[in-house]
Amino acid sequence: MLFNSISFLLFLPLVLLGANGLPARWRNGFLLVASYVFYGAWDWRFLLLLIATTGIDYVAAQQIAASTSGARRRRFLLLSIGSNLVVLGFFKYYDFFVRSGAELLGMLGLPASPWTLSVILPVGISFYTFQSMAYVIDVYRGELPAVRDFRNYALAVAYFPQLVAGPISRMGQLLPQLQKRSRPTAERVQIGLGLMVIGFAKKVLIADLLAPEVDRIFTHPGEMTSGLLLKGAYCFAIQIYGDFSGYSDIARGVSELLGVRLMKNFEQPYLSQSITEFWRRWHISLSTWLRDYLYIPLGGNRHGAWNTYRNLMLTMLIGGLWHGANWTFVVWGGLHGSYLAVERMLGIGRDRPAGRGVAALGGRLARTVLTFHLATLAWIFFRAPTIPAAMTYLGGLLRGHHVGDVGPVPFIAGAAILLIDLPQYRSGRHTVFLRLPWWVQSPLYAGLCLALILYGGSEVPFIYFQF
Amino acid sequence: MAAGVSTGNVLREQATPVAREARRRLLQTWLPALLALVLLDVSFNQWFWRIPKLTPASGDYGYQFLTDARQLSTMPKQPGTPRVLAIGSSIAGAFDAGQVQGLLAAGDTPADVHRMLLPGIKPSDLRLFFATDGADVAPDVVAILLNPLDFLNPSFERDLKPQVRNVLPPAQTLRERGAFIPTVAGKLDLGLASLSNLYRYRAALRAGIEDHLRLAWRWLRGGAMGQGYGVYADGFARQDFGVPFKAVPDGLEYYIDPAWLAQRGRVTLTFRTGDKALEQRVETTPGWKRFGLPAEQHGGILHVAADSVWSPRAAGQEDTRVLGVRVRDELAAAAGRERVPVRYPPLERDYPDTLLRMEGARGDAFVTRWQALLQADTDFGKRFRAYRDAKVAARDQPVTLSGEYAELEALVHGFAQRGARVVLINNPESALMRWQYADSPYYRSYLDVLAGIAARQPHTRFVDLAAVLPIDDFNDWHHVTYIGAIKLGPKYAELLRPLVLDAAAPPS
Repeated sequence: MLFNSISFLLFLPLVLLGANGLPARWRNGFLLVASYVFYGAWDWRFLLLLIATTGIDYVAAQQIAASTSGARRRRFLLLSIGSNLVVLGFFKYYDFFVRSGAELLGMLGLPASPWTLSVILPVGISFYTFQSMAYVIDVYRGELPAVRDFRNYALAVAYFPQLVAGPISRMGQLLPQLQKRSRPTAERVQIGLGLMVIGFAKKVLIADLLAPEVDRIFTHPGEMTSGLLLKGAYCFAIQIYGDFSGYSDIARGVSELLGVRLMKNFEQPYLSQSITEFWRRWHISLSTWLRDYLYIPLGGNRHGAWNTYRNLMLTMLIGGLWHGANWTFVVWGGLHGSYLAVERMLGIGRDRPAGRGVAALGGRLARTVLTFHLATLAWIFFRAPTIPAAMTYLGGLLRGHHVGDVGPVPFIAGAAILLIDLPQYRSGRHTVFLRLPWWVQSPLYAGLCLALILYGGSEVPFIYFQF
Repeated sequence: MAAGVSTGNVLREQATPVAREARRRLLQTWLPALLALVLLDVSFNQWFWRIPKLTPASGDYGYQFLTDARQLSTMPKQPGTPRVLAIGSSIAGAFDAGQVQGLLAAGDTPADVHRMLLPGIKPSDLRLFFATDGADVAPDVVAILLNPLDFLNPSFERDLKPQVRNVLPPAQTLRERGAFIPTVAGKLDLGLASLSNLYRYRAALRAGIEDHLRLAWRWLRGGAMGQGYGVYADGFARQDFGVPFKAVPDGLEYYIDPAWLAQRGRVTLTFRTGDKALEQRVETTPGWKRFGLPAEQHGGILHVAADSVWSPRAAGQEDTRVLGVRVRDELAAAAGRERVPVRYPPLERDYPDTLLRMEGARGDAFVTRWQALLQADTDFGKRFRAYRDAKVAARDQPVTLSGEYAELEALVHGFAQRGARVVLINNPESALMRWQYADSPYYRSYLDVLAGIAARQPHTRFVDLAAVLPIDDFNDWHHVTYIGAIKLGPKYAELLRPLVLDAAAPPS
């Protein structure tokens, strides 16, 4: 079920009614069933996979917590990580690795016919396996006690606002809130509704309106002028941000209405002054996951400069591959790994006091524009279907003809995003809109709701659902 | 943020001052927003249909269909002038209401002629519409334009297209068609549409807003219009054009082509300067004419707008343009610009859809172009082949009075019961299609069923126009070009004339 679907419009009020209105002892059970209905609406068979993953990790965490033997604890940790990676590997990466292996053998003069399975990717699998795996690792590390109540644990894994596209919540944050979940206060309802309206606006009024033009340009890059290719790249950078951060805002808003606060997943990333800062602001739940469970265990920055660069590169390559089984995502991750390594080498991206005056402002603006363009360059690989297609795109972009074809669309869309992001950036709060007087908020919401009614019928899937 | 740690119920919160303030703010913010939306929703029909539709019919057929229906439902009929309504799917594009009205009027048969066209609409959809929301349209004469494809049920058309679904009354559609709507979302969509006008008419409202934004953008970019426009190098003008007063100090000479009058019956020209209307002339005779300038006029632009255009190609010449009057050649230099001034509502709403898929080719060039389009791996190429395949596949299956045919009879019966004269028209079809299935049991029984309906229903006739146009007047198997449409106008006018006279006659 999509957040922007008509079915969700019926589903949400019913869930809010049950999850907040039933007697306390039934509320979480009801929410768990609702979450399974939400997930099963795509394909009920994958519900079994979700329940199996939940069960294995629940048992593994119990066994780890109950055991004092290091070997036994390790065995159950490996069971959990192994089962998650096998599920992920089978559904998401099997065909990719088999095909890539066959291509490699072919290049070595050893032709092979790959035995692929063409299985459908269960929606949200990358998100819930990472969340569940992190929980077991935290229990193993002794940072989190194992949860006894299976119902609440299952609810934390399947919690529908964040199930299919994150944020990848940490159990340490989510479980206590679910265990002590109460009906939302008026203030939380206000925050939740506001976040939902802004999230839907980013998705429906910005991302979805840009999508057809982006699709057109990325489908036939060889037939486009440089200006149109530039337009496509800018528009995709805005589209993916509007789409994914919009989803995260809706998820957080819905969760507020259920009395649960989810972590922020975005902090105005395109206002970053370096790629290092960009990754502190973009898909925060994934970047912190990769930092805590991959980069730091690899050694982080503790073993000299070259090992740090290697760790950055490895983390970003795996982060790229997390997005999808395609070399384009690996190149995207590799580009970001290179950016981060170079910035570290040059000492860019470390916090420093903001200067004053026109020169300092100009410098900040230049760094922001440069960072946006570096991220946009990488997005071309992210969006292109293949590496050759991405190279065709880049080649066309560099030809530099008819640059004026870029037109006003990306700038209008960018201005719309800035209208939301700048106040949030300056105030440091996503809920800055709540400070506006009611007579500004009220017509603003009415106008946005009207625009959503007019443009919201197409049910364009969220980009990150495919990951 | 205090809310992060607070607990309680939005309805039964402890009445602390903070909680009370939060609840007050929630209501203060959302209640007016909700009330405004509800107010807009319930008053929708009072304000929306008064907003002019700016784009031509082809810009958004569903919106046009609804606008026409609303206009006809609320507009009082003129005494002594029967209301004629042509209805049908995309093939009804062959019927130019303005042209037919002009030709009827030129033959002393005044009629108020309209067309309601919607691509993909089937007799069952029309029956449902005219039995409910369209009941007040109340035509005196109805021309139902048909093609065998309207009765076939291929998946590429039968699954209710959004634009068809958007014009049908949602509650009745859900009741009648619920079993055939494959998804829960589809049923919910209709359910919601039956509850909310804003939701139901969202496509039309969106189109209305976007059209006005586009016009505002054009106006902002246009600036002041200090030059002439709309005259070709050979002196022929577009439907509307402008010339500087200083270029015509002795008045504007213009030529009304006899072919124009043959195609349209009469031509109305409106002369104005800026916002001031100078004169309106109805031209019924061909030849050169003169428009004398007002004495006090020294500068600015003389704007001239015709109510129609004509096609030299439809008059047997090679030129495929649509044209208005002809002016002296030398005016082309003073008025050669293509950009027209921004007017509200724009004049081009009556401009014909000048799609010419075969690019005006004839003979071998036509066949080459036809074959290239037929075999192309494009959306149109796929549709082009699918139209043919659907008809050829059915050639051995004789039709019976069931399904869409029975719905057609119910539609005709509904009109006849309300006293309307009805003509069923088998619209033109390319010979390139007809030779593939015209001798088949399917096609023969199709004609028999239509004739049978006409015979059974009162005041109903059946006319077969399938073979009246040559192949180069078609954009595909059964959609005529605008040139073909102009050629068809007199034929439609002739077959409607007796029905209009009959409808205008006082009841005996």
